Order: sequence, then C-alpha cells, then structure tokens
Amino acid sequence: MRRSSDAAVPSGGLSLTGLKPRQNKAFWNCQLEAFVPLHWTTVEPCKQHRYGQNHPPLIFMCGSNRVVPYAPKHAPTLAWLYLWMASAALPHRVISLLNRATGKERGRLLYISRVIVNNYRCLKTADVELNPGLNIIVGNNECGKSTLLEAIDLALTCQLNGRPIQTELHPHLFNSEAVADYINALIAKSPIAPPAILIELYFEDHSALAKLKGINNTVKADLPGVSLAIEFNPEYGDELANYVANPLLIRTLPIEYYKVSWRSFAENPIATARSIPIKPSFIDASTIRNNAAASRYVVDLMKDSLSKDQKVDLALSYRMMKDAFLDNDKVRGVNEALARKKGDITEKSLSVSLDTTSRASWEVGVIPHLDDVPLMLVGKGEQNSIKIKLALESSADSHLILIEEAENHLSFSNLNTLINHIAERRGTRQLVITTHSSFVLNKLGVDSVILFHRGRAITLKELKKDTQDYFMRLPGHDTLRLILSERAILVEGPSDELIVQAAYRKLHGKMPLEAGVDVISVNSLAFKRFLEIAVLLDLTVAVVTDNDADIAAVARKYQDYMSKSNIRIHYDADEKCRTLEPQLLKVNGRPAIERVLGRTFASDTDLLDHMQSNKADTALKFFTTQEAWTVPGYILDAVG
Amino acid sequence: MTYTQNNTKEIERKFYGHTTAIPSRIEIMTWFTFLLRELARPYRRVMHDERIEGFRWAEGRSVPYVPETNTAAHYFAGGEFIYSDKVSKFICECERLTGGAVMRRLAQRFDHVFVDEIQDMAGYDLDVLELILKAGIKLSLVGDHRQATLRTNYSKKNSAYAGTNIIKKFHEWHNSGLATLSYEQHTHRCNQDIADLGDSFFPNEPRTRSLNDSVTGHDGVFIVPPSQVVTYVDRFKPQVLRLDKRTPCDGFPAMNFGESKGLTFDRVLIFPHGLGKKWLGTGNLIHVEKLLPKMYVGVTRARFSLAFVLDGDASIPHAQTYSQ
Repeated sequence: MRRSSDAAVPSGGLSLTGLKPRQNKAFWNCQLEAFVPLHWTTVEPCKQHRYGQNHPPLIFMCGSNRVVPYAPKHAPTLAWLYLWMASAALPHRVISLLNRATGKERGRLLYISRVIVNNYRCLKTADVELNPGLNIIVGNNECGKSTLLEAIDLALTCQLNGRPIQTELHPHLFNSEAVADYINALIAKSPIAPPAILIELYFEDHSALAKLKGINNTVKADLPGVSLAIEFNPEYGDELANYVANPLLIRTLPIEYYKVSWRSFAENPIATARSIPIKPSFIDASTIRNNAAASRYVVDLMKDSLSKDQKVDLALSYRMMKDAFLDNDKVRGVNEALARKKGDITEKSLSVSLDTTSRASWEVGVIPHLDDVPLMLVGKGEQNSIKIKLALESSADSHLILIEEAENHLSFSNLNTLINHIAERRGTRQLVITTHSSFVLNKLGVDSVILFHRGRAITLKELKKDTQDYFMRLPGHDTLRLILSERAILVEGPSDELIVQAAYRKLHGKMPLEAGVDVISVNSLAFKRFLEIAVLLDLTVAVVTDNDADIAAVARKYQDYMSKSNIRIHYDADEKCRTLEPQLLKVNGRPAIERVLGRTFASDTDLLDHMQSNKADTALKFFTTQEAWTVPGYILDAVG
Repeated sequence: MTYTQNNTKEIERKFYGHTTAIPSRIEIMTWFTFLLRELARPYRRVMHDERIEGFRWAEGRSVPYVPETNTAAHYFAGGEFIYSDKVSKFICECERLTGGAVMRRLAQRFDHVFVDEIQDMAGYDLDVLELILKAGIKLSLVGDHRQATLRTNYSKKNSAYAGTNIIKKFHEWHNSGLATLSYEQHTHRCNQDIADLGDSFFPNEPRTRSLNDSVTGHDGVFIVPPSQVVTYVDRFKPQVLRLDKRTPCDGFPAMNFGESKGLTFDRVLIFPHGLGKKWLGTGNLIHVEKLLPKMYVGVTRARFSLAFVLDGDASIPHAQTYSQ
C-alpha cells in the first residue's frame, strides 16, 4: 500500500521563502559544491551531466524521469539552480530533496541553542542561551566558565578527561553547596532527595536531529536535545540509609550508589556519541594533562581533518609496517633464538611481535610532529594553537568548537595570529570560547559576548535597547572591567577616580586594583547603564556621585537600585556642597588643602575657584601628597 | 519494521544479501520498539510523570476494570512499564494532547515508513497507522491478511478489523483516498494446484496466479494413506507440518503451522488434526473456520508437492491419492 501524494504535482513550483538573499559570490559557489554529492546519494533514477573536468558531476532529476540538462558553458551557480527549481513543476518529493540540499534545511546549521546545568561542580544552576555562531564567554575567575565548557563536552560525549564518565565519577563533581544543603538537611532531620547533576543541551530544531526530539527536559520545550544525569540509584536505598545514618560524619556523597543516564529529549538512551550529529572539539588550553593524553588528543583532532581514504591509508601502512617488522631478517633471527629457549622459560614457544590487538591501531603508534619535533616536546602555547587550528580545519559540517582561554601560554603576537586565524576560519561553525582577555573580546566582536557570573549568563541582547546600543559603541574594555572586577566603584570623572583611589589606599594600605576593586570613571548619564548590567549579573557595585544641589533628583534617579543589596549609592546630603571640590573643602578646611596644594589663597571662594578650574591637577595633588587630609564621609563609606 | 524479532532479523538478513552494511539512514526495528522509542516516549509527560522504562506484556486485555481516568494504573504496571496492549492508545492520547506534536516529530524523523506483516497489527495500532497516514508521512504497508496468525494485542478497540478482517480497514482507507490498496496476486513459491488449495480457504478473495511451473514428476496435492507414510517420507523427504504439538505425527520431526510462517519447503507432508480430517473428507470450511489463517499458512509452504496423511477419500480440489 502506498500513499498517493507521491505523484501529486504542485502548481506553483518551489516556494523560495526562508532563503535569505545573500550577495556574497563565494556563498553561491561553495553551497553548490556542497550540494552535489549529497544530492547524488539521495536521488535514485537520475542522469549524470558533466560540465567540465574540474567540476564534480551535477545531477538533476525529476519525478517524471524528465532530466533537465545543464548548459555546460556557464558556471553552475546556485542562483541558476533556484531559478530552475522555481520554474519547473516538480513533484513534492524532488522539491523537498532539493530544498534540503540547497535551501532552508541546508542553510540552517546544527547548533546548541541553550544549556542548562544543575549541581555540576561550581555551577549550582546555570541557564545559558548560545548564539548559532560565535559565543565569547566572559566572566571572573572561578565563575564557572570553564565548567560550562566542560559540561557541554560531557553531555555531548559522556566522557570526562577523555574517559567514560562512569569511570571518572568522583564526589567533587557535585556542587559543594548542594552537597552541604543535603547534609545540613539530614542533620536538621528534615531530609531532602540526594543531589543530582543534570546537564541539558537544547539544539536548534532541525530534521537531522529529529531522533533526539521530545519534551522531556526541564523547560518542557519541544526540541531536540540531550540530557546527562548523574543521580542516586534508588536500588541502593538501604545502603544510602546506612551511609547517612550519622550525618555528622558525612563530608561527601556516596557516588558508588549513583548512576549515569545519558538520554535524548525523546527519553531514549544514547548509545554512543555518534548518535549525536553535533560533534565537539574541546580545546582546553589551561590544563594540559599529560604528554600522552595531549598527543592522543591531537591525533583525535587530526583524524577529524583527514578524509576516510586517508585514514584507511594510514591504518593500512601502519599494519604493513608491522608485517615488515616481522619479515626483517634480524627480527626473524631473534625469534629463532627465542624459540630454542623453549622449556627454559615456558613450555610454549616464545617470540616477539608487534602489538596487533585492536587497541594497537595507528592512532596509538603515531605521534604528531612539528618541524620534526614530537608534539609533546613543543612549547605549550604552540601546542594550544596547533590544537585550535586543527579543530578549525576538521571537516565535519556540524561541528562545535569549545575553546578554553585561548590566550593561555601565548605571547601577544602569537595570540594576535591565532585570533585572526579563528576569526577567518570559523566559517559557520558554532564556537564557544572563554576568555579573560579584552583583546580577544574586541578582536572577535563584542556583540557575541556572553557575560557569565555565578551561573547567570546574559547577552547584550537582554539589556534595554538603548543600553545595548551604548555598550555596542563602547570599546569592549570598560564593560569587561565591570564584569571582571570582584567589586566596582563607579565615579563621575577622572578627578573623582583619583580621590577615591587615594581614599581607598589611605583606608586599606593598598591600591584598590590589588584587592580586586576596580574604580571606573563613568559619564554620569551612563551610571544607570552600568547598574543595569550589575543587577543582571548580581555584581557588587558602589556608586559615588555628586548631589548636584538636588538630593531629591539623585534619589529619583537611583530609586530602582536603592533596595538592591549588591548596589550602594553614595552621595552627601548637604545641598550646599554640590560637587567633590566643595566637599573636600568642607571636611578639610582651607589650611589643610593649602598644604596639599602647596600654595595659599585669599579666601575659600578663591580656593574653590582654583580647585574647580584645575580639577585633574587638584586631584593628582591629593593622590600624591604626603600631607594629612580627610576623606569626605560619603567617599569613605564607598571605599569601606 | 515488523511485529516479531525473527522477522526483523529476516529483514536485516535480506539487506545484507544486497549490501555489505545497512546504510545509516535506514533503520530496522520491531513494531513495539518503534512505538516505544519514536512515539510514546518523546511526549509521554503530557500523560504520565515518569519515564517509560519498557513494556509489561499483556497476554489478553490488561487491567480491564481500571478506567482511563486513572491514567497511571490504566496504562502502566508499577508506574513505569506500559501495558503492551495500551501503548498505541497512549500514543493516540499523546498526539491529541500535544496538538499533533508526535506526528510532526515523526515527519521530521523519517522520510518513509515501511511496515511488514501488517496483518499482525490490531486494536489501536490501526489508529496509529491512520494518524501516520493523515500526517502525510509516506507509509508503505505490506502483508497478507490471510496469514493473520499473530496479533500485537487483543484490545477491544477495532475488533471488527481483527485478524483477516484487517482488509476491511484497508478498503476503507482506499475508498476515502487516504491510501491506495493494491493486490499482489501471484506467488513465486507454490505451483498452481497448491495455490488453488490455499485460495479455497478464502473464497471471497481474488485468485492467486502461480509463477512456478516447474515439473518434478510429483507435483500438486496428494492424499497419502497411513500405511504408505513411511515409504512416502523415505522417497520424497518432505517437511512434516502439523497444527500444533497435540497432533500425533508418527514420531517424525514436525513443525507447527505458526512456526512455518515465512518459510519455504520443496515438499510438505501434513498430519491433519481431528477437524482438519473432517475438512479434508467433506471439503466443508465450517470445520476449520476458526483456524483459516493457520491452515492457509500450513498448506502454502510447499513449492512442488503437498501431501495429507488421511485414511479414505478427500473432497478438496486437485487431490490425487498417492500409491506406489
């Protein structure tokens, strides 16, 4: 029995909706080349048409077995193909094939759109939306950027450090806060369920991923995806009860009683990483484990960039080399000598051979060399950039590249080369990169940045439209300073910045930056924009502002932030002293300031005039002076 | 896909006959694997809170007195094992509650779905097939309703289309334009005499034309008197078949009709059971009306000769009495 729609011919030909017009010439050519072999393998009764020796054969076919010949004089542009598709009355099946090969489906990439992590290492909860292309994850040390990359890799491969997660389970994979909550609940005799790790990767809805599609995920979205859960195995209920009998003795979780389940959102088990069409290359530059692992890792990456034939050739030559080893006269002589010792060592005959078990394939015996130096002996920075470049060269078209701190072990000029390479060769692949370097950020583009802080991630898209525009225009540097600092003090201008720095040094005996406190000078209109990010990321921020002789206006301006525990607004309530300079005069008096400035003035008004017309100079004098001076109360509060 | 694991293996073997490996874009699975993995699990949470770990096989009807409103107990044993006779019903409910998400996913998942031994499908399976058809997914169903010896379930639903009557459902689909029904009316296996005997079980169905016209010197349908059985077996080495193990076969190694489904032998010798003897003697189908599919399978296994052990005359078409 067969459905009859097969033969139905649509009247309007092909709909071209969903195909964005692109002017790029290279796009048309490269898409067409990619299209040909795919088409070739999917369409059965077809005729082949050659249009020149240097091109692959181009095949067209129609349901009615009418073959449309291609004019060999012209180059095969995708534009031509679209025209042909639109004008010919083709059966549904052909259109869907062509559409898939060239159009919507083909243009759409396989990518991870969202990551949700619970209780994995330092990420108690994390929910991150990713861009289809470039993602630059920026955040403080220890904020969990690397953990996020590790989690993505883990959920795609079910491997940790290159080994199956089942053998790599250890108690510290679990978020320490969640474990502490669990133990405290036990101590308080109000037990809760043992903590579980969950990593969910949501993919773009694409028919190539339909096998993984379903609604079995935290947010109940009908999307393809995978989830990896490390959870308590209820079959060990009795053992767990014994283990936690005295909660005061417990420090870690009994991971022996935990199981790993790796499933699609359709809730079917995932047999191997091959079942997930998105294949990651995880380049972890910050920690190179050991030489053997590093080299195997590079071989793995190298393998991806080799064609099937090349791989077979390598495997074959390796095996032939082994055979040749045994045929060697000297080796044969050794084996004959060994054979004569039969009985001395064992009753069986002894001989030497090369390892021919499946483990001993070429991947194990082959070591990558750089300029004839084995890779493990090359500097770490060079190793890193090789890994990154290899990953970028690999051929799979649904490739995800995860790069951890590309700037590690690299000199500035090498970093520059590498980042240029990444920007050029990334193509359409999804790339997630973590960085500390504002250079990397600026080079790759601030618009792809994801600000990450304690599991919260925001993109500039989440900010208000005008705030977003503001930061898009700003060089990446200032935004980055705010995100990377443990604590920030926002001030109104360079003179305020110097006074606040000096005040901090007076109070703590060291410069604020040494303590991770960044004093950032911000245009007074931009305060609220920075505070918006601070609220989203839960950053600790103090604002030092002039009262501008209108306390009510200041209170109005910051009313949204007054109640936030992480944000403090500091200003003086005395409307008569509207800016920094009168404030300094008020608390120090004229003689003290005259000593700091090293000159005298006829009156307070003269002094104030001088200070206000030489703001920066005055501030610098306060910053460098050995004389004693008093810090205005509201500034002291801010640095305290 | 197909109902039994044996038939699934058979399909895989056929593929290996054509090619060195099954292409990755072709997936072969049993009907129940398909139901569980591709249809029931992905959207189960609109019906049920826990993952469906697997099946609980229902021999007849599972928990007939638990109402639908008690979802967990109606569909599941122990909360996580779905009753095999309810899985298709569960899928239909998921499809309804998600507003068609189950079939939308299936349409993305497969370009073409093939089901073999379609006559084994029963109950809500037919509704699932209808959903697939209505979703516009290309679906090819192959089978022989005359060989309806097995059933995926014994649900009350669609019992009017159970067993051989499944053909009525296909006619309905054909008439409403949902599908086109076409008969394959020839056999490469049986010669015309044997095919005619098979057809005689279903007088209302189209006749089968044999494409096997080879002549071996002993061709067609034979009656062997019990006294001649030993020499007959000695001379022709037939495969001995029987209805089931309760039928005595004089100690010859025998195979049940049901087991022989899908198999081919050059020569077959059948030891008929009690009612089978009555049918042979009178030619009246009333004696075997409950066993028509099994009888049909049994008599249509042979290429060249089909013989019945019977003391006396037979009134079935083309029967010749064997004598040395």
